[in-house]
Amino acid sequence: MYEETEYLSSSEQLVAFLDGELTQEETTTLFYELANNPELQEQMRQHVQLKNSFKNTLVTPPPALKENILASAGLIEKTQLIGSNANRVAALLIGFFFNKFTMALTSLLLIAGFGYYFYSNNHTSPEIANEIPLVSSVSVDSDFDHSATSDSFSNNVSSDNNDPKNNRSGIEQIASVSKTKKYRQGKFTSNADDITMLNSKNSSEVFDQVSTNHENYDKMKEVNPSLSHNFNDFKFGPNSYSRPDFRRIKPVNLLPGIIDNLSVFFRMYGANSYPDFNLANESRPIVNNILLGFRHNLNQNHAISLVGGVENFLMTFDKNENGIIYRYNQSWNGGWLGLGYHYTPGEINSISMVPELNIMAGATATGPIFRAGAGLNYYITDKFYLNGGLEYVLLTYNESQFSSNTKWFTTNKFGYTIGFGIGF
Amino acid sequence: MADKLNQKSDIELCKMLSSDKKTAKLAFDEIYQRYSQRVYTYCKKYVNNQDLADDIFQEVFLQLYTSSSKGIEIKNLSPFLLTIARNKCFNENSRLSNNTTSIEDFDIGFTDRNYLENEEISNIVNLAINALPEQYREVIIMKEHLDMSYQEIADATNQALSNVRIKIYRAKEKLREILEPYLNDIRD
Repeated sequence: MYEETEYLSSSEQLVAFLDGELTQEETTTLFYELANNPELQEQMRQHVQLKNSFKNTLVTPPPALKENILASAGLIEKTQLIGSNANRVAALLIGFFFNKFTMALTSLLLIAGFGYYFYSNNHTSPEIANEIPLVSSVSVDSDFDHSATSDSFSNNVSSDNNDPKNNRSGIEQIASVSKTKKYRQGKFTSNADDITMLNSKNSSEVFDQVSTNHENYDKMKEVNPSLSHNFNDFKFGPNSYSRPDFRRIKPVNLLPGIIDNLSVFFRMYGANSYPDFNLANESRPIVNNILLGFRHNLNQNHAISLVGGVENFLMTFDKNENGIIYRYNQSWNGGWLGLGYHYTPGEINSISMVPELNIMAGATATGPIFRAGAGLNYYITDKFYLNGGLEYVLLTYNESQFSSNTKWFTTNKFGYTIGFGIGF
Repeated sequence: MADKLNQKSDIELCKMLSSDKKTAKLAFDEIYQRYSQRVYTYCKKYVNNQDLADDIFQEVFLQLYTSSSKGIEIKNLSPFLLTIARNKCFNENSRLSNNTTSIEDFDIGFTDRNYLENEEISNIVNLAINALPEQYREVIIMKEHLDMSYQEIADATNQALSNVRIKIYRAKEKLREILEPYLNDIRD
């Protein structure tokens, strides 16, 4: 195996023999030497032990390395970037503190909000309870009984109700009480329109309707057909929250019943993913994990919406490549489009908050997507609200998207949402 | 297609890397399957650092793809990959100055048992290899971990065959010297 001119010592021959690099002739020579040299025999024993200690030492690279190479070479869709240590630390900090802290805070707010809603809607506060008999005590006779009205107020209102000229004063007082109650329920601010209403033909009946929390608005319209129609027939939603706000100016309404009940909403997510692994998101954080929707109120409790968004998902799936099954971990960014249903059980008394439950179903390029969430809408004005809540998202994807086999995998996300809505 | 790829030579696979993406990916998969373990083992054993080995390993295969896609002809793929890995490992080792254990400092401590477990043996041997001078360490990794022949090592390291043989002999003698106190404790 070696050139004839090259001289090999016995020790060198021994090492070469154990490495399988000696010719038959050289091996014969070595064995003759071994038979007569105990020191060489000891060397051989040690070299054999050393050689044995090296066995089975080939190391298989982690599967993620292959994906990194393929992605960097552009042979597969770029799904992940190898982040720097700083990015990893930042992602870890954000993931751990921001997501979990915000989720915990949102959960507490939701529990408090729903709890307060159910409590307040099942228990009338003593303050309001005292006011209701006061207003309800007004006579419901067809003719407005000034004296009765005045008497009703005599114990509670320090105005001179004996003088018929002071009827208006009495009405104002009643309107004022009515206003107090309504204000606790929402955003009612006007008493001038109430007065107008009270001066109408069947003032006492209207009076009673006002005092019973506007629950039968249709009756009011029958009583006073001239009453403004400038509000929705629904209690909730950006367009309808301040239903009793009679002073609103009616807008030009080309599609009555549609435009009035239409709103647009925007949300951002911060969610924990399952599966979860340390992959950096696609480098477009601004447009990741957002949703835009158009919502139409069907009635005071129900609404439907058309929604779409862009979202990042961490995916884990097995892929068969040439008979070898690889497990892929990848970060996928994609758009989705779907339909949603929203349920608003009612408003929370005395604060401008409306709880909301929603479910959505849609499609992405990889498979169907489902969402379910609960949140609170806080109305800053009757046309604008802020939203916060929790949401669960399920993305289902098919391996056939990535190979010829058909097997379904899922990614679950759970986290908080923040956003806002604007009514038309 | 997979069967056909198995039968293709390294040269043919390298040429396929410059084809369309689908073909290139299939060729890459086959090359990766053939040589990834060998290259990764070399990197890991040589730099003795997981993250660094991962980075170098990825760079090696990326460089292979880049070179092939540019039409550069690669006649002997295994030495080509190992040469790239070797150069990158050299650079990293130079940058990190010295991450090896000197032979004089070599000490694994004592054990009460009269034999060593497999993992202990592996650790001791790895420490001993790391204690070798770089020129010996390289050939020992190629010979004993990658199971390369003397000729393949000579090709990969661009040395004469006799040089490789001498280096391997000296490296093994050094290892035997280092590990002599422990060799009797290694169970068969």
